[in-house]
Amino acid sequence: MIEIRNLTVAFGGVRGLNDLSADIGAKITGLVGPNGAGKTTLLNAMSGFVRCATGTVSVDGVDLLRIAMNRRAAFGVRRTFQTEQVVENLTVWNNVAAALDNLPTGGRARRDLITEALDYVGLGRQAERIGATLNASERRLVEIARCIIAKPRLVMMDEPGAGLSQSESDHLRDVIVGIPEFCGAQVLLVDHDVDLISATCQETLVLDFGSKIAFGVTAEVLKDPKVRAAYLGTIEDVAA
Amino acid sequence: MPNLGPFVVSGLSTGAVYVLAGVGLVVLYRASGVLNLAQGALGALCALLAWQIADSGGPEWVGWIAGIVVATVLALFYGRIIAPRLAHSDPIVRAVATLGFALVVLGFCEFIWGEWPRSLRLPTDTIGFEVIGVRVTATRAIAFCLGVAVTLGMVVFLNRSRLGLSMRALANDREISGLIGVPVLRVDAWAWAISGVLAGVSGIFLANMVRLQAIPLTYMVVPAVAAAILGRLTSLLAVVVGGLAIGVLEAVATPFPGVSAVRSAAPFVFAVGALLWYQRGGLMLSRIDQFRSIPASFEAVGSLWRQLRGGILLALIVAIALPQLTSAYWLKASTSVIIVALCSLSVALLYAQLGMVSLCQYALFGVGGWVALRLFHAFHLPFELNILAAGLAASIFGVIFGLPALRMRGLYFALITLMIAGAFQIIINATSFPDGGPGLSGKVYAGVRQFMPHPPLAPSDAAYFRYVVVVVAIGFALTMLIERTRVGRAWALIRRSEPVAVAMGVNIVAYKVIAFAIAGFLAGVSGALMAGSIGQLDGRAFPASESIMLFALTVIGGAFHWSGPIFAGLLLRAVPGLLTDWHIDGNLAIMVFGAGLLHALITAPQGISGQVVGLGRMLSAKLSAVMPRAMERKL
Repeated sequence: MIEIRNLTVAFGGVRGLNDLSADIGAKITGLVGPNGAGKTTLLNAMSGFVRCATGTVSVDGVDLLRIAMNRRAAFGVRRTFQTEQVVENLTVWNNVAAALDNLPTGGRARRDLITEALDYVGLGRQAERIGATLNASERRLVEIARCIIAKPRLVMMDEPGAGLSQSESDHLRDVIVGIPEFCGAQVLLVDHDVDLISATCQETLVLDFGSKIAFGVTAEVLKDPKVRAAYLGTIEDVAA
Repeated sequence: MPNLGPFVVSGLSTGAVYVLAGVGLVVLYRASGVLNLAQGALGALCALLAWQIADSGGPEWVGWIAGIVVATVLALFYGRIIAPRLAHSDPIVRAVATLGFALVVLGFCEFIWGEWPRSLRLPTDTIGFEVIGVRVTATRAIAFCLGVAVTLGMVVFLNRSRLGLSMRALANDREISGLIGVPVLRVDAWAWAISGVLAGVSGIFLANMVRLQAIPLTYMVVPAVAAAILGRLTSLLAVVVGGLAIGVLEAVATPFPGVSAVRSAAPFVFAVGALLWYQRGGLMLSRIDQFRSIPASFEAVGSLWRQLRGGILLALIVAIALPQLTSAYWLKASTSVIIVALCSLSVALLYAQLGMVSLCQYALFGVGGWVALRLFHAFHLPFELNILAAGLAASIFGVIFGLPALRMRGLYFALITLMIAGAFQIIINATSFPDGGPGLSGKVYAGVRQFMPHPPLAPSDAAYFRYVVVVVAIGFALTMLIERTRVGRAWALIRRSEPVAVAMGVNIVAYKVIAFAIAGFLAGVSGALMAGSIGQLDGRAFPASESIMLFALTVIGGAFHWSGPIFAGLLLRAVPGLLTDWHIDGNLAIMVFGAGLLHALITAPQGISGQVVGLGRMLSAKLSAVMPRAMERKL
């Protein structure tokens, strides 16, 4: 359960997030909005990369903003970035091991944890390949393996589906859908691909100019005229 | 209390010249993103040309103009031809590349004019007037007025003119500026031209006020960089305050016996203070995915044995065969090559693992050598213990040296280590590097210097060579082992991107400290080995230029493979001997190394070792195609 209360992030005079409140309880929640709406800013605030002017975020009842940013991964908050961030001179196995190095193993063998994560995303047979030789889809899967290892609470993904082929997208969608069952974490998914969002997310939060304009069951939210207006503009806008 | 008036006045005028140079640095950095560390070298070239023309009987003003024109043309040449090739690189790489340019210019100056100190007299030296009871020469008055006027002019220029507006746009975002129609290259060229003119003018003034010698003038970029750091490389007014303050502090310390000798470390003090102040807010992460220019290693961190077996074989062959084959002179030189290779490994570790540029590793080498010598003379410890102690001491210094820039972006680390290298040289000169006397602090005032003998395990030069090979091989193996632990993986994440590393739970500061400590340890051990080879060390053996050369040659040799530092050692310690044998001026080698650094950064980031390893791979692939069976069995 993620409770966001009155969260405001200010960049000078611009508000990246404006008094945002939301209780995110679904297993997989979509986060959508036009460019500049504050989606990545919300992820960065949760990672600790930007300072929040006001507000709180609690994850499973713990005040997230009080945790030092390099301890949030061990606490259970993981994320991927818009651009892929696989270490190119480490093997797939070591990319995941590098993440596990800073996480509690819960008394389980490292080897088992890594194997499970790689098998889950479908890279079990690719463990010894070098990061530099992976294609875009494989890189995304390595990143997801790094996020789902060792008991995460919340996995945040920033546009994981960008630039993938249809079959790769299908595999990615299956992987994302299965994350809550695989490791018990909630997923927060930022993407522009409405098909991916509708296929994976039970609930969706829509931001525009840093404010919440809709939040609820995905299918209903996507039909909301306000959401359509934010994405497509409105008749009134054109007339005016 | 001595009368400080004259010192304040002379300090203000010297400081004003630092301001001139600093303004050139900042204007260029803001517009083009390049911190031009060759600015001092360009100033030196300009001053030497001016001197040459006047000395050959030409009119003085022709000399000044010719010098400034040449400095400007060279700056333009670099800015238009070479800098664009690195336009998408990390600011550290772009700054370090200008060191290559500086080496080329410096090598040229030394080749033509040599090291004799000259003086550049200006006609305004003889005109003077009194200000509050202090005599001021017109030169100094002009320098001061020019420093202030140029800064104010630049502020107005950047804020009021169309070109200034374009420069500010470039400073904000080059690509977007280009998209909205700012002529990026032309604006860039103007910034280079302005910095070239300022480099030339400040070179002439400094040659007049300080001395006309290529190396010190090249290092005059350091106070300018310090002034620029004070303004976070962006604020011109902070440069004025910083430059003047550094000039005055240096001058005012002159009449005080205790601090007079170390007063040239003033820029360093200012820069460290400024950096500590700026990072009071906590960790400053580099932007995610901003640059991808410090390349990753070309091979996976794989099986240690597979990567090391070639090296171990080579070490064995060299250790056994080389002492049988070479003369005593070349045996000594080979020992130095191996020792310097270990020091180069410490540079390579920081560069290849973390993307950090350390320009002070040779100072740490000096710390190690000094500690080993003193401990031997004071306590007659076994050599092996001395080596360890030297490594530990240097690793502590390495961490201390890294601290000021620990939470800042990599460029500041490179700059601060450059200043440390300079300050270290100054402090060593000031304390006259205690060596040769008995006891811990042992200075030798009169009489014979005491030598440290080779360790009892390896009494002869041949045995000591083998000893060094073994110690250095252990150093390489341990380093490569560490790269395969969680420490190495954390370094890999940090180099990939600091935000990613943080998001994955890496404590960036802690892992950087570990890297500084290990790199310091390696440098310290190599210094101790050098002390054991020569038996004594000379304070003059650790100039800042050696640290810069070590970095340049490590990049040229290749930082990403174990063979790279060995190539660096060969270039640094075997090539000069060969050149002497062939009667070639060593300054030509400096020019070639400078060009080599540029070449490596622009087109061959894996260095010589990358080329050699690539060639080896290609050959073995060809071979295995020809006789697949034999190769399969071998692998």
